[in-house]
Amino acid sequence: MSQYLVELCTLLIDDLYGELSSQVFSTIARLGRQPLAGLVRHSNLSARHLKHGLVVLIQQHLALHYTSELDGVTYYEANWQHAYNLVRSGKIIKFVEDRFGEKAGGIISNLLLLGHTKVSDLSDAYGVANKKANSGAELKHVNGNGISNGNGLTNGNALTNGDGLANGVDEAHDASKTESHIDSRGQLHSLLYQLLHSGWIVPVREPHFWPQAEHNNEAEVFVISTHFEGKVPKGPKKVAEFARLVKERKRKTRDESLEIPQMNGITGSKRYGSSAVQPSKRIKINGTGFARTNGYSDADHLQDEIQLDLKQGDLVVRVNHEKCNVASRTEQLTRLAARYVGETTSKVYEALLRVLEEQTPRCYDEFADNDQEDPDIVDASPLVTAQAVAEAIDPNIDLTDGLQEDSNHVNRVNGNASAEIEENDQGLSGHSLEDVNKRRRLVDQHIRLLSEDPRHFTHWVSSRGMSQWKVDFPRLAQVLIQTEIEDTVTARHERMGTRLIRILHSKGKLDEKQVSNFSMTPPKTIRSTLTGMQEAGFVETQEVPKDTSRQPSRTMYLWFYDQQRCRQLLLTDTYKAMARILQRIKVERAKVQTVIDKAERTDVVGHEEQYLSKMERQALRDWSQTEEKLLIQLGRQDDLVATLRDFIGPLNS
Amino acid sequence: MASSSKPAASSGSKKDQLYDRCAEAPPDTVFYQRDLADMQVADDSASLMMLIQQLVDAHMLQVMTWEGQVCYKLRSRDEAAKLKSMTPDERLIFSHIESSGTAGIWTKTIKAKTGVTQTIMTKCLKQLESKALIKAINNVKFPTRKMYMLAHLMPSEDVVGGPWHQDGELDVDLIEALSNIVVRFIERESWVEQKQRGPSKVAIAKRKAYVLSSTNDIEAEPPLFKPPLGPHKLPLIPHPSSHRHYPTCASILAYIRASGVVDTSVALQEQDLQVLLDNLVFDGKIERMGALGYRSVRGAVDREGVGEEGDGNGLSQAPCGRCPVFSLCGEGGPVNAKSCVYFTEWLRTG
Repeated sequence: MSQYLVELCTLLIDDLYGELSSQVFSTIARLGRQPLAGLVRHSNLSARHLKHGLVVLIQQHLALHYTSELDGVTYYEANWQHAYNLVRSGKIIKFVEDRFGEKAGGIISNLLLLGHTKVSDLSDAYGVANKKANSGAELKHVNGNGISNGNGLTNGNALTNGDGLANGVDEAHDASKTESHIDSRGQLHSLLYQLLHSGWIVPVREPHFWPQAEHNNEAEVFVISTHFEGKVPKGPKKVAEFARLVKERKRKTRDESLEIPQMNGITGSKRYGSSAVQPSKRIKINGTGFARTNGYSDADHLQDEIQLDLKQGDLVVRVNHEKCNVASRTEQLTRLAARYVGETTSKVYEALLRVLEEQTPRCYDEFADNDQEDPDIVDASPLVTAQAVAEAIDPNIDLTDGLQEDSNHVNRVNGNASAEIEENDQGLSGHSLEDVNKRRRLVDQHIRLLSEDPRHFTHWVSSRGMSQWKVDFPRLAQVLIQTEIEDTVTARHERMGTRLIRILHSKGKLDEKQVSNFSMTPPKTIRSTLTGMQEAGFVETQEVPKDTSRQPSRTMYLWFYDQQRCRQLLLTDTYKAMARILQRIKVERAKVQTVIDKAERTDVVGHEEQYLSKMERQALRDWSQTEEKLLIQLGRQDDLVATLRDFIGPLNS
Repeated sequence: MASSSKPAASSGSKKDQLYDRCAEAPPDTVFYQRDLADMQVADDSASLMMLIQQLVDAHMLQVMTWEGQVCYKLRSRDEAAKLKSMTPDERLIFSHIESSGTAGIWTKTIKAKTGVTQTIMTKCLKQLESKALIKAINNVKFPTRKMYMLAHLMPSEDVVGGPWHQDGELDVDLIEALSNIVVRFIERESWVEQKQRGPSKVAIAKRKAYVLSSTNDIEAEPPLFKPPLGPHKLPLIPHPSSHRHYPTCASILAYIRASGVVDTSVALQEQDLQVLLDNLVFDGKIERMGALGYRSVRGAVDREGVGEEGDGNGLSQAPCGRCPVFSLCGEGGPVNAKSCVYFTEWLRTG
């Protein structure tokens, strides 16, 4: 955990949950795994304060804890992933709103606010809120109940005056007041079910609070006792086998703990109840099983069942950030396609990726079986048909845009002769069948454009359902990373820097002369750029002495570029830059603090025109613009972090 | 008389007579002794040898050997005069430079072959250069070596380094000009301008109206990236996936040759162009389509002068991404978020 990441996480927590929580977090982040006694010893906080802070952190999943069975001591560890994810709150709500509507977005925002919560508590909150028509206040009240710390959420100001990241939360409050009225418990439950089903929220079980090391220990102990008769395996072959089994065990435990959303059969066809693939397996929610006998269209029946199920069970749920990464990847890839292929095509790509999202619980599986021996596993990436995309895509999009006129001639490619006949029958069939066919064909052409692109956004698999495609996510993640690095280099070292990076990336280690030849630029011109990039850490040199004397004059210097190193470098820089933005937001706020205080006075709220001078109103306007600008930049830097960190395996791979 | 006066004048010196006879032959003819004897200027071989010796002494004949036989080449009178004015050292160095032909010769090699001292050699080379007999050239392979060749010769391809070099250095202007031409050509061949659609537009409008009536929250979002426009100010769209005629190295070369944009003296070969194309790929202007084809990267030809702005990411556009003292920045440090001047400037510029 880098120094800047700690700084950033601490700032985020400070923003949302107050100073005490952030101090406790920075303490455990700094010290690493510690029992409470250790924390007391190494910090200047009292045990009582620490406990208060830890409660908030645990409620929000910002701290992990594990009580050892041997000595009964509880150890605490910082959960920086979740701490970092605080910055994404607004984004997650937007993703969910885009996919499931505003009401679902409201649920997510409440869940984010609460950390994790019982379904019954959530529905109580909504139920009460509806009766009294005062949801905002009530929700806040619930928040207060969930958290014992006075510094944190009960302090309404920290949340509602648009302080930094809370803007997502803000929206939530507004939304729950106005648009996202959840009318009935049934509706809430069906939305919850939908979110659970698609993996946006996941059930919380005790192991989710354990640090990574505990999962590892647990898996190792299990594997040793079951497969190796209680003996620690020795010898390379056994050790490899052991490592594989531990991975498998960890994967299994994780999947079991997230049981509910494990779906494979559902594809984009789900909104067409009749054609939906019926999942045959029984889905368990907290031990109470029920079979999903109908598609989504049969809402009443389904609702009853869920209601029964969720009402009985006190299922605890939280937001799944891994799914958020998947959505974020969709967004970034769509952006890349829009940049290099075209706007409409990128929208088709977005629809395609969203169909795939339903089958993708996470961007990469750190416990994946990497053994290439089993051919079934190698080709496990999900597939999508043009038909499914055509059904999923927004019907308002003009698909003919971005394609060439002679699109009708492509009929023969598809061997779809009947399409033309149907086109002539327009009067009879209206635009349903003819339209569907045409759209399908256009979607297919867009996808073909995507696969044709040198970045190979899609890969052709078979011609089932018009055409069947898959997406090579790991390779595309690399492309995204490289694009981000190149963009950064372009901004700092002009086009020339990027050109040199690309040359070194494709050719490996080169001396200055060779670099000059490949770039068709005199050595004099490239020397300054190379040195500049070396100072910034984008390229490095390796010394190759020509003889044993190792004199600089008798040494060759080879330039090279290491993508992983740049990725790490850029990531750290971005963390640091994000921390600076958060600090700057505070600075900007402090400048107008007196005016803000005045505007928030109860007698002023609602009568701003009357009590605030023109100057003061202008100052507030300027401040909110400045803050918005900073927040937008923060969000964009978070996009960069997602690209660099979350789409592909850990940095050391 | 007039006719006899000329031979008489030349016969005044048999040496000149022989020289004139030789000059009648096409230039660069190599004469063997029997050729000279055939001219019947000298009476016998002994006097012929004497004449030849006189000519050689006057530097009007150059002595060479070919397969063990001595042979001669004629020098012009001017050249002979120049040679005559040289000191022996100069002459020695000049002969070495002359023998190196179009490849040129390195000063160190001259020194090794002639064994003269550095000072003498420098002086001689200076003298020769001032008389415009030799010139210094740059070798692309060894840019640091000082090399010389005869003033009237054109350096060979090896020395010059192909069509991309001019005076031993990369011809940046030529490369840039040709790059622009190539990128424009590739764009024209690999993207199509979207036509204004007639009848289908009505259909779209109809559908849009239908959709509008059913749901009323459609907002036309501006595209993420402004689509690049073609020469007729219409958006460029890709070829359909069945397109197989992306420009290749060979077709681009044919275009360049046919268009006559490049001087014919620049002998552009396919491998030379390939280097240029590779470089353009690295520059992010074009991209490969399949094994041979090329396509221009969207927006590679900048018609509206928007420049490179718009690209970049959250980091590079924020002040921190370009901050020269970013590594010093920290809370309580000499540079921090509170006192940062770059932030102030950035926030002010709106």
